[in-house]
Amino acid sequence: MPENTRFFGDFEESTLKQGESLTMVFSPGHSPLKRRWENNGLSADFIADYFKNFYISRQQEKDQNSDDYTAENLRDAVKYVANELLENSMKFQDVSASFTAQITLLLHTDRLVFCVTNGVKQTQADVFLQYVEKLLSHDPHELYLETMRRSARDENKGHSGLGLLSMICDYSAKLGWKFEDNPAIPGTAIVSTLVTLAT
Amino acid sequence: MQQIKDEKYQISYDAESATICFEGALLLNGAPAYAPILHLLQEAAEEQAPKCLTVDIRALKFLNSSGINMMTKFVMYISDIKALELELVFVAWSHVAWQEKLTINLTRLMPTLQTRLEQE
Repeated sequence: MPENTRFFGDFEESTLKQGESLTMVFSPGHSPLKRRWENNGLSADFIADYFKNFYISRQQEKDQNSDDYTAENLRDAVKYVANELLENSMKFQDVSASFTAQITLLLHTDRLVFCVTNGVKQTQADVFLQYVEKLLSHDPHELYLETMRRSARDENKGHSGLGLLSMICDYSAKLGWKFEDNPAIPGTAIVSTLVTLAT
Repeated sequence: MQQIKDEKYQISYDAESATICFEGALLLNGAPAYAPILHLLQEAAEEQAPKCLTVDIRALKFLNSSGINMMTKFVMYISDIKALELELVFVAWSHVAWQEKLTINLTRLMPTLQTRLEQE
């Protein structure tokens, strides 16, 4: 592990090495942002359908009939989290560094783990790190409400900052981060975000 | 009838019935991309004040966080920025968890907002 690796929140590396998984890899320079943005929805739908299929067959194995609403609401949660993580990685990706971003979905018996790894400029990593520290030192529900209030008056701000907070507050997700230096490309960092959803 | 349409979504405002209907999936990129929809909502609110405006999100399948941000901007515009006297009603499905959560969050910002959770 590189010397400058730092962990924050709920980031258990061991969860990434177990269970069935699905990984998708994205190259930043492969196509224009608008096209890649549209693909986020398609990728999130694919991940959500993959999960739903797994969830339903597991419920059947347990001889438990999952009602359609529960399965559909879980599918919606998976799509929301996957889409937000993909949108974030696209917004903050360092296009010039040609680092391929990837999202992995890990299927555990009682939970679902998403891991997104992205290459960003060191300056962006520093800003994000400050945000992570703020997230971890505040009550997320209060911060969510405060962010909604503040952004309502902030006319042209492109990034609302609501995505990660809504995962925590609306979907009871647990979040963790790993920040690493990227020695291959000086001035850049590798940021991994782990999101755990109970199923 | 005023409409904002794309292949994946449609927002329609019917002034006569004072209803805005959302359909499809909204995954637009940030606040600037949502600006035309927010503008339609704000205009409808100004037009219907001091009566009632209904926002029906039952046919909306998906809303990303930038879309949630647009909705929060809309209710803050009514309750805080313009302090409009308007009865705002959100109609959502009771079985769609994210729709209910959205209305709960919006009610925190605008306590007078009314939610009608419909059953299928």
